[in-house]
Amino acid sequence: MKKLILAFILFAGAAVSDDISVTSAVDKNVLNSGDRIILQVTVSGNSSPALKVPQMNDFNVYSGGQRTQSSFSFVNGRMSSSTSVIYDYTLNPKGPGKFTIPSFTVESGGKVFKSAPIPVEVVKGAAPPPQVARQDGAAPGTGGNDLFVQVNLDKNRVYVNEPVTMTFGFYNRVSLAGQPQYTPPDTTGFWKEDLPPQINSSRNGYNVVELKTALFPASPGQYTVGTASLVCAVPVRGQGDDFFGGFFGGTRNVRLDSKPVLVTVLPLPEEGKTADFSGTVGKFGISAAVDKRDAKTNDAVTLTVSISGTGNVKSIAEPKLLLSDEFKKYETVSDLNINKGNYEVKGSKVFKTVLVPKKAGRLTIPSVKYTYFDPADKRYRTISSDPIILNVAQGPKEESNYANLTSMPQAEGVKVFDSGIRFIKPAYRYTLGRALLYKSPLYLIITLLPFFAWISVLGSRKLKIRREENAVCFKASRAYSNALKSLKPLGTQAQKFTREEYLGRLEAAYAEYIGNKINRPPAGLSVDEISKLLSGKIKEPGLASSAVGVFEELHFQRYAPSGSENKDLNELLSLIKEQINKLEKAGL
Amino acid sequence: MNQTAKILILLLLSSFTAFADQGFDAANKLYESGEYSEAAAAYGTVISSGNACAEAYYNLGNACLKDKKVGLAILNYEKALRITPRDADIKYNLEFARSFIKDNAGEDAAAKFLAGSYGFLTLNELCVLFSAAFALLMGALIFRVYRKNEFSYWLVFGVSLLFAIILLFFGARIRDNEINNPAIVVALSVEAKSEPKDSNPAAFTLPEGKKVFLTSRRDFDKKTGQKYAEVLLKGENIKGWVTLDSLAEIK
Repeated sequence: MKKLILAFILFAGAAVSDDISVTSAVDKNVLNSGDRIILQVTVSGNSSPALKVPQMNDFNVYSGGQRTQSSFSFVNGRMSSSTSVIYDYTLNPKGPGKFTIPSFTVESGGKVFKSAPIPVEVVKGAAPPPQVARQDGAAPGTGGNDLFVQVNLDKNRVYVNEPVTMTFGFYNRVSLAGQPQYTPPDTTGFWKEDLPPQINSSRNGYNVVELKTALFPASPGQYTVGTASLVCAVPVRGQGDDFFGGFFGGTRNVRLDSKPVLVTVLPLPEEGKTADFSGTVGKFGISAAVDKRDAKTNDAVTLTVSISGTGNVKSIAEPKLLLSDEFKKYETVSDLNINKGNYEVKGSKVFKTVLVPKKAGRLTIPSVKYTYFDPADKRYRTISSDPIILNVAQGPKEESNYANLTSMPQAEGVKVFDSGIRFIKPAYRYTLGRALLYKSPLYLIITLLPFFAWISVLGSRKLKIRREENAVCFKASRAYSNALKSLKPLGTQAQKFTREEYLGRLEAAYAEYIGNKINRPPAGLSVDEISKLLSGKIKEPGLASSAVGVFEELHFQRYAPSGSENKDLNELLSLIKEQINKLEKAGL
Repeated sequence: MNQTAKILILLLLSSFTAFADQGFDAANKLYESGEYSEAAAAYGTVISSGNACAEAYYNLGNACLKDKKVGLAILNYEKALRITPRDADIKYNLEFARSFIKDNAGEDAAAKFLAGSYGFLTLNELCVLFSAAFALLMGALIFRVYRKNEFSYWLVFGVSLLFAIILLFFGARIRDNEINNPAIVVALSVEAKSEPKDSNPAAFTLPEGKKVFLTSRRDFDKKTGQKYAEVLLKGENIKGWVTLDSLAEIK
């Protein structure tokens, strides 16, 4: 069997041609007598005319039936299609020797196409087994023990659009001549999705080939999955047995039929059915994404909504986008991906919509909702994607339009996601708090200090100037008080001084008074000078001469020899005081 | 007198040293762990125990804002800003808190700039500046006593001009401080009446966090004893009576 397939693959390439070609192939060229050759003749081309089988006297020929294959090939971008009809034969050589399988011919449009003859050598080996015809009582292929087919459904009560997995199983424990031909069951009322690959396994001594198909019922009601049939060539080891095989005899085409299966399709429950339910049944999830979260006004943003899961993915309808006026929405394109792994119909439908934000700010694309029916839980489920927030900046005004959809990469500045308050301060500084300085007296005093400084500077300055300008006047004004001050100790503490000292102080005080008054230094005043200056200052007659007389008296007392006319010192003191008072009153 | 000396020393130290004590730290920890109302109470204790620093008011404002008390938040930010008027964080958060109230008396950029420069210095800083300017003026005058020339003439002229400007500014701020009594609406939504009577209908409403000026007039409803204060809205130039407990004074 395997070799046969290999041979077919080898020669399949030759089948692709513009004209008809006939090729023949055998599984082996050298064989033992009693062995058999499997011959495959392929007629390929645009049409499939009848094959003329040559006379083969050296072999017992069993027909294995025929099957048709269509192939499409793409060569340099051009598609060509061709149909191949493959005829299977089993040849049993009648004896040892060298033989030739003659050419098979086909006539089409007046042309004759031939296959190449194949030389075959049969060597004498083990004695051929006795060929027993139809030994087994029960005819194989009647659904008995050796061959049978089965159609199973994984469930018989389903909801509309709920996937049903149909499994066609072919069980055999005999070798087959040629490829069996499968006719799938009638599945009217279902949408069909094949689930390759076929499963080959062995169970309880049977070779089992299983083909799985997903069925989606389209509407409620009672449905029948019809009979699936398989025609296979079963070699019959009996000569001249042409009961089934017709001309060739020796093989039988056995037709195996499965039993029809009833399916009850339930309508979807009305309870919980929402208005936006689109009829999708299965188990799904939804997600939404945008190609960028930071956009500008009039900038295109692609929203991708993906609904994926298990179920009839093709029936997923476009979910409704509940967009505000802040967006301009363009047409949605969808993309379907179906994945049949693990013998389930899975996949996703992706809806892409171009949105253009019309105003700046934080715009929200609301969550996209989709409702489907979950047959496992027997209830409706609404799935929703997360809402998407777009930060839309003010872009250039309307001049760029739809045509300029491809967004250029842009340098990104600071992105503010949350403009909350600033954080607390970890430590504090001593501050005045809420005490007010201007209300404190100390502040006022300190503030006013420079003012006092200025005032005192100003005052002292003025005083100094005045002193400089009127030094004479100042001295004269002070003369009287100074004289009294220096005379005072002489009155109270007379006994401390000697007569000499006493007289000296008395004269000095008097001389200073007169000197201050007439703006002359007291030392070195001559009597003449004094009388001259005093008489110029004093209007009162006699006063100036008496003042000079006092001077002369003092001189006399100091320098006269002792013992002669010693005047009492107190008398002299009061005389001087009296004289000073007189001078003062006279306005000196 | 002693108090004033302390203030003066602190004024000199204020810009250099940062402190933290237990109460302040504990309140900060409460804030960081998200217990905002507890943190607000803790900051309140810090302030009432004598540490009325700007940071405490600022953090208290944050805690109030996180606790969704916009009025109290604005109140405490305002108090903090009176102490440190150039703090950017306080200004930012105050602006943020104000963005929650729909205040129709918006300020334009020029008014904002003027208000900003008017309040650039604290009253105490202005006091020191005034004293310094006065001392400078006196110094210039003393200089002129000794050097009676053209230079000293212009020196005295210039310093006098500077002093006059500062004096005007200082006077205006002191007058402002003495006369105006700003307050923040801390109740959720306050109705102002045209007379201090419970039975009077509302004349206008005030949003939480709105800054108003208390005039000196206080009165109460003769029947219910509800205390009322007269408030002035400077931007809108309207007056009305609101219940006293719906306001908190900034000063």
